[in-house]
Amino acid sequence: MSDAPLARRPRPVAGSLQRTPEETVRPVLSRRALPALGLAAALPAPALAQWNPSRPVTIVVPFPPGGSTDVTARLMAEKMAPLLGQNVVIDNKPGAQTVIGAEAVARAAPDGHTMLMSSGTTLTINPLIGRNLPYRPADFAPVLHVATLPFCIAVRPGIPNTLEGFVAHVRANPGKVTWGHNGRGSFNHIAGALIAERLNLDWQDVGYRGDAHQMNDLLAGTLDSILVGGATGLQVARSGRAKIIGWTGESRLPNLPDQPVFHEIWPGLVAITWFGLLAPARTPPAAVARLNAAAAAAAADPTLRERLLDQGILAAGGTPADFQAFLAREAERWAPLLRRLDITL
Amino acid sequence: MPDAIGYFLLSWIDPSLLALTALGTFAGIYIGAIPGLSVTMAVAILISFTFTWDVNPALALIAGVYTGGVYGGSRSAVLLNIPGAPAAIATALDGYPMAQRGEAGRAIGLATVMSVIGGFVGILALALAAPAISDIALAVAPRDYLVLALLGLLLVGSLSGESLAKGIFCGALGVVLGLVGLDQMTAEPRFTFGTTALLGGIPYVAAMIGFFGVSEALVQLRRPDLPPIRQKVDRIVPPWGALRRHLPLTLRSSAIGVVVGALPGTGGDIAALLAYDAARRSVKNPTHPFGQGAEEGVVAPESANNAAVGGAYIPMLTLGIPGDAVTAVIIGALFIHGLKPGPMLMIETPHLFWFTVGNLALANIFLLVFGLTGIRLFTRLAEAPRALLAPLILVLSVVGTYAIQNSATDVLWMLGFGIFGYFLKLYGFEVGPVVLGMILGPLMDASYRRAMISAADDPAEFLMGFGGSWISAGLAAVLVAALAQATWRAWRGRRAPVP
Repeated sequence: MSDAPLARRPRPVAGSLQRTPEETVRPVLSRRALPALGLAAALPAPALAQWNPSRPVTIVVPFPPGGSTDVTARLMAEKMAPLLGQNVVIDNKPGAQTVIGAEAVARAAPDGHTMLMSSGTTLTINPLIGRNLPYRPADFAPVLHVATLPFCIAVRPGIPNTLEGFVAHVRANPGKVTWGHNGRGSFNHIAGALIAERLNLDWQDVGYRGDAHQMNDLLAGTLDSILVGGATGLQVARSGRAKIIGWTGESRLPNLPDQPVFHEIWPGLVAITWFGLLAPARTPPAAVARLNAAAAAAAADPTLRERLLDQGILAAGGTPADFQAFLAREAERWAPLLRRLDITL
Repeated sequence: MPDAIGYFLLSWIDPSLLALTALGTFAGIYIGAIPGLSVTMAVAILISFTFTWDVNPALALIAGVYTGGVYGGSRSAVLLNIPGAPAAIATALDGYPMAQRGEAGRAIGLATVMSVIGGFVGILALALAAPAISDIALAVAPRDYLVLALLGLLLVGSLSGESLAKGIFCGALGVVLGLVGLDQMTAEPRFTFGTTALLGGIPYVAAMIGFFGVSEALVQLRRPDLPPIRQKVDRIVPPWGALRRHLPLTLRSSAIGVVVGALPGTGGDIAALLAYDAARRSVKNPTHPFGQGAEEGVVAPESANNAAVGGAYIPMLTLGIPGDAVTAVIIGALFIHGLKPGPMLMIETPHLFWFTVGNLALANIFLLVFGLTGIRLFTRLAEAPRALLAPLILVLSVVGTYAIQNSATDVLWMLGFGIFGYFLKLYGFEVGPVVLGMILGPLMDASYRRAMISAADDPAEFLMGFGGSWISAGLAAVLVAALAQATWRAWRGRRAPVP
């Protein structure tokens, strides 16, 4: 196959209905692709290395539209489409702690046309706490470590607004200070559990579905603190009615140099989640390499990096092997804590 | 100020923005009318198309689809008894009986005009009182959500048909169905029987389509020989007298819509149900009894759900908190366009605020135009012979359900609930309370548990909380009054049956 489709500028991205009109009503596309595949098989090996998608590439997002994962996936899709010479469409399959979307990709054809925009929940947390998980990490082939996301603690007015002050306040009022998270077993709940264990805090956790209610309760003063992703944290801080007191990353965010990280005061106290693209296992290495190249180029785009940083998201990059190693390190980091917490999905 | 007016009128003057708003509204009406195609989904898809556009055209198209879509659900609710979207559930309760009387045209006409009035109330609130309303929304505590959910559940009383006991059974069943899946606080699987298929819960839009659409089609198939209902289409635009008569109710319902729309996590669906319940309680002499084709039963939910659109924009533009699922998607779109929703948005980019307000107003004008045209054609649908109509409803239900998330499992759920609903109806149970329970159950569950946590699990402190804020006290008083009124009516009814 050649790079010919590049001549036609692809439409940026379609949405979650991507499988409806075009593909089902006009299966011509895939039929047209068949002889092309035959041609590819007949070509010598170096030509195969130039794998190119023969139809639109789908990125399954296991969250509803509008959240950070979705926005990141859409920003990536926009940059990847011209590089791949095909549309990159977003398919939101939310629900059940990302299990539904992940399972769909684990079972998708390993032909390089389906990827998962995974977060730490899907492949770091769920495999460690899931008893009847319908997928295993081995069902996926890592493509690119897209981004790293530290969490931040935001507090309502009236609560000490420095990290040390806050921690002292929680210790002085055991069981009284409340913090919001996205439900037991969600990444921010587990990050909070890590902080509580490490700093010996007894705080009262409150589970929420989604961020909107948490933001509301924090701004209304019925919730003392939230431990959330940067997008949500920065949004509540922008309201002027709550303040971010610290982050859980390894270092300060370049755009927020005056906001400290736990790691500075309590070395080693780091809790990050991540975004990454993964294909079904057994996707041909040539396809993984091609997708990695396109995705890495997209993640290196300065506008994209800036948009992500606005939401407290640090764009990453690297090779599939780097991503594999990162996943292994993260699983190692969380396994002991999750065993102690004894949460099962 | 002159700047604000300029931004307000931008989409009225710029031909491409005008066209996009019109297109969005028109498309929204039909997206909303098709069960399963939701406004949230449509907006999510549009956002990806508008990726490379400027922010104004993108927002214009989205505002149109949102406005049209919230209203569109009433069409199928009135004509086919399938609410096109959860926001139109309450509309079906009286809209469909009106169509059964041959007054589909009047019902849709009323729904259109009242939606537009409700929409304008929402816009006015957004333009003039956004900061105040977002303060009210912020002050609503978890215990208040519990009271709102309970108030909504009181509707079971009027949806029960012949037997209150059967209605309560159905409502309770709905609550249980709504609780299936991972518990949002503890991630504990509830009623999942060890399968992952149920972890995500029961898809309630699929259940809604099955309960309302399929079960109705099956009921109709029992008597395919009955003649179709002739529809009166001489007066589509509601007469002035009717408008004047319903105006106070419209304004009251719109106020409910604005506030409920501004609350995070509650949108047009709950606004419409609460407005319907309030109307049922406050209107002394409805045109027909509620549930049997009362015009008020169409007016209240339709004003409320469109007022909720303006309401949902309020916390989004003032605080950066989404008021409902659609505004959550819009926030994502603003991020993609490099804008940061929140109070600074109004200060740093006031043009965006006034553009949004003006554009929503324009969308409502288009809604009036498109809503009132084509009604005659639509009402012919309700005149189709039953032998044709029932299969049509079945096909629409299957296609619509599949469209939710391209899932054949959802279609099976929908058909299962349809057949279950048919048998419920056969034995004198109503399906309305089941769907009501499915929507309000999870809200009730989460808000009660959050309220208890903030009261340190102390029931006394929980109850004392109701004295702590005027919103809590007021809502609790409304709940108590509603219960007292219902008990009084039941008692009086037993003593001297009202004809």
